[in-house]
Amino acid sequence: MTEISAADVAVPVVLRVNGDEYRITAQPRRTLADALRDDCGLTGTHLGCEHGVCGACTVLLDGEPVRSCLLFAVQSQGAEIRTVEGLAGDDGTLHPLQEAFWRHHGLQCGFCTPGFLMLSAGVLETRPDIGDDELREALSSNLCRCTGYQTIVEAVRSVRDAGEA
Amino acid sequence: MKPARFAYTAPDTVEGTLDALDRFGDEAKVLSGGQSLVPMMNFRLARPEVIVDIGRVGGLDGMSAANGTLTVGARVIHARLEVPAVTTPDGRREPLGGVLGSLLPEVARFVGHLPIRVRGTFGGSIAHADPAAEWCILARTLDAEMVALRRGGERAIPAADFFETVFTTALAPEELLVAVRLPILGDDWRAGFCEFSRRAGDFAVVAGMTAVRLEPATGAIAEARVGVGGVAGVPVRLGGAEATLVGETPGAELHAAAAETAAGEVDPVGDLHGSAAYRRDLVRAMVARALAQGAGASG
Repeated sequence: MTEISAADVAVPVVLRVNGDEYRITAQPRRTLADALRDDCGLTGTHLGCEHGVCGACTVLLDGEPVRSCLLFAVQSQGAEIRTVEGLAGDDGTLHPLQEAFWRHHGLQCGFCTPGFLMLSAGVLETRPDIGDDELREALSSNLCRCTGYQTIVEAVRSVRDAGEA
Repeated sequence: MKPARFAYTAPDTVEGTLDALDRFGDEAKVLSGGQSLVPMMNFRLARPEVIVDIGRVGGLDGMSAANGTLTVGARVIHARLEVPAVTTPDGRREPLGGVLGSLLPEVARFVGHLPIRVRGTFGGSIAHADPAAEWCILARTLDAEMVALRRGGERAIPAADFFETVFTTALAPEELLVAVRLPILGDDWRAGFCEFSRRAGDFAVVAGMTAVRLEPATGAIAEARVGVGGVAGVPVRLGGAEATLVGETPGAELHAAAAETAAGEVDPVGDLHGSAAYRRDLVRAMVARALAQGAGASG
């Protein structure tokens, strides 16, 4: 019989985030987003709607952008997880996408930015030659209440055109 | 917006999954990609006692074609249907051609957003049975068969019997949906899909799918299938619109007549996403556009 984890007991969970291993304990119902923020201390991943609509919590799971509010930490074991904390270099050098968001005014309040950065990183790394229409469609995955999106599209397009992601 | 407590098990085999479902019965809920179930759990609209996670179960993510049937494994993610490929008996992977090879990507691009499509699964969407879900409409329109396993048994459930009402299927609590069988439409078929939603990536307010088989000699329609979602608790087939098409030659006038019949035979209920009259208008538009798309014309 396969092992069953009881509902009210926190079980050991090992998460691999930005190349580091985090050994935490979490109830099965702990979402990956909450585990990242509260157990791993990686608060760069933001939570907006908590039902998969806004995309603020987007992280990369084995290279693909996913909603971390729709994943449980226990499900994410064994996967390579990347969050916004992993984008800049160790010396603080910004990732080309972060530079581009800055240069093109792709953010104002910044709440949605970690999600947009990880979405864009996932899209450009797996689909470096993505067309303008497909890129716009991909960026429609996430919500931003400040920019009106055009500057975000321009930022990501500039990184695609420079082949930098 | 946090899910209620649940016990969790992640078997790595189909047998282990069936054992768990047999043991926990209707206390258990199968978790596949989780892109529909987890939002409902976060809203606490769903409060399963036990989650049986099939994410580590092997052998459920294949696609193969044989004897006129495309078999899609329950754990095939939506994104793979954007570029459908089948595994041949000798283990090679080749693109799925033909009418289904063109239709599946047309439908897949309407399923949620990219981050949903790389996690959510075909079988998960079918088992979730949202009446406006693209794959449910496709399954109903093409008379797909759902393959369900339980301990010591297997059965194939036709789409007409599978979808019972909103979020409710004929699957028994101890059954696992392992695959869906779709008929491979021959080159004499013309299929189209169209949906309307207010925001990109949202569930459809109304979606329509059509498939017609043409008589090679005359070009007249020998067989017609018209299915719509968003107008009832399950995706529905529209027999009146289908009868309007059969025996006739495709064209803008015929498509308009069939769409008119379709609009007349649905009985939608209005809600905040659209009144009954608005949904009826959408049925007319979606059916006409799906027919035109299938015929390779605009309008």
